[in-house]
Amino acid sequence: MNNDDSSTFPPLSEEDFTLPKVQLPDNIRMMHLVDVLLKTPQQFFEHIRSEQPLLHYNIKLILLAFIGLAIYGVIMGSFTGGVQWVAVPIKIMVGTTISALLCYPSLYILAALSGADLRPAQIATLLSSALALTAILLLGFAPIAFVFTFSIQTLEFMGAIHLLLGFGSLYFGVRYLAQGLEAMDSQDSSFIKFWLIVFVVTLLQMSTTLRPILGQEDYLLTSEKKFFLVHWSESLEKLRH
Amino acid sequence: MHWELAIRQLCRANAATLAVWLDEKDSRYLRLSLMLICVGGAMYGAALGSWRGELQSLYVAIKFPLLLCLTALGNALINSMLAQLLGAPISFRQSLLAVLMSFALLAVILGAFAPVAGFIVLHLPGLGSRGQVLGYDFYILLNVALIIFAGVIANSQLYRLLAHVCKSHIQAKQILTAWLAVNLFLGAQISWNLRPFFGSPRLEVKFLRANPFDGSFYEAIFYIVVNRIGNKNHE
Repeated sequence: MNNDDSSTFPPLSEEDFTLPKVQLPDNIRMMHLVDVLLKTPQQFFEHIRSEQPLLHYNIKLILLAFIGLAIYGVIMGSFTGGVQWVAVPIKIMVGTTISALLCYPSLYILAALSGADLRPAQIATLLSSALALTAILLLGFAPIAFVFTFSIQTLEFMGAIHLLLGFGSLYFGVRYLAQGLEAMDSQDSSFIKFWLIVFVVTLLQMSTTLRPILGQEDYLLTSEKKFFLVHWSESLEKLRH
Repeated sequence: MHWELAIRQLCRANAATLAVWLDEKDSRYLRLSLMLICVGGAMYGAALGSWRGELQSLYVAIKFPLLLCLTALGNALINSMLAQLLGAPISFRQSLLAVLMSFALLAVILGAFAPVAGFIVLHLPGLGSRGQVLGYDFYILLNVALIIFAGVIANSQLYRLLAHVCKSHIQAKQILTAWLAVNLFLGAQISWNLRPFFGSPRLEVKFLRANPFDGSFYEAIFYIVVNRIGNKNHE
């Protein structure tokens, strides 16, 4: 009797353990894109790397991000009601887009400094996909935000809940971005961590610039410039009184 | 070479790739580096000056690239001599290009942060407002942090290039230290002559202060220290 199993079963090669590489179609469906972002991001990184045209993907990713942000914005707006039902989703979409545009040049430079060899269009796709993923996760958090919206009485606490959910979603978005850069030869993750700080500060300032997002004021937008730390300390002062 | 590819090569700092820049005999990399210094420096300068208003923004957009170019050109000769004294196989043209490449990277990094820095600065408590002191302090802190960040990266990439060219880390360290010392020495003085960059809230906006070539950075530091000590003794 032969005890040597290797004679009956040939040794497994590395290829047996890896999934076959499936190319993403040019005309991808929205739900397929959501699936890829959540389940097989490596497949999407491979697509970005393959130097194929990325315009169609970018349009769909931005659309996906807008849908997620708009729905979450409606839930945020429902805390105050009235005109905020419409104003908040628009403000959230516009604010996130402007923040992403402001931080895009620094992301491109920091990605290159970390060793990633990416063209501006590839970085733009990576950023829009990270934003789309963040928006998808916000959509997932929407029912939780909805429950709190009808229970919480204080504006400041509601703001804290939204910040918590926002940071939770953003964490996964940035983690995806870091994985993407790593898949594209980035050798130092400290640069992306630094960019995250810059992006969060920009988002927080944007939320102050586009105030009121939660709560009701006589105006929809204000031209009064205010640093977000000053705005927060004033809000906390009000809470104390 | 396309400017976008040049930016990527500068940022990735693959020493073998950048050494090709140094070996090229014509002046295209010199012009490219100068162009990046002018564009990146002007973008950052505009953001830097924006706290004091549009005019200061315009002035600093002109003066910031000028500061970098004058420092590099003013030290070109001594930098080349120092490199040769320390035993590096680097010519005058190559040492000037190496310093310009490092300044170009600094300008590119600062230029990339200009939109965010400008946006933040625009929303800080302004001149004459209740939180003016907080606004000015944060404005200084933000810009100093950005310049330190960009400076550290630009110099570490220059070190990698020097280590590749010199084939010795000790030699590269010595040359970098010598270049840093003379660049900081002259840079501090030129920035003093070209002041204001940040723009003190107590002084009016001007392209240059009255009599910009009277006095020096080092005299000013000396008198600040002497006055502080004098005041403490009086107390």
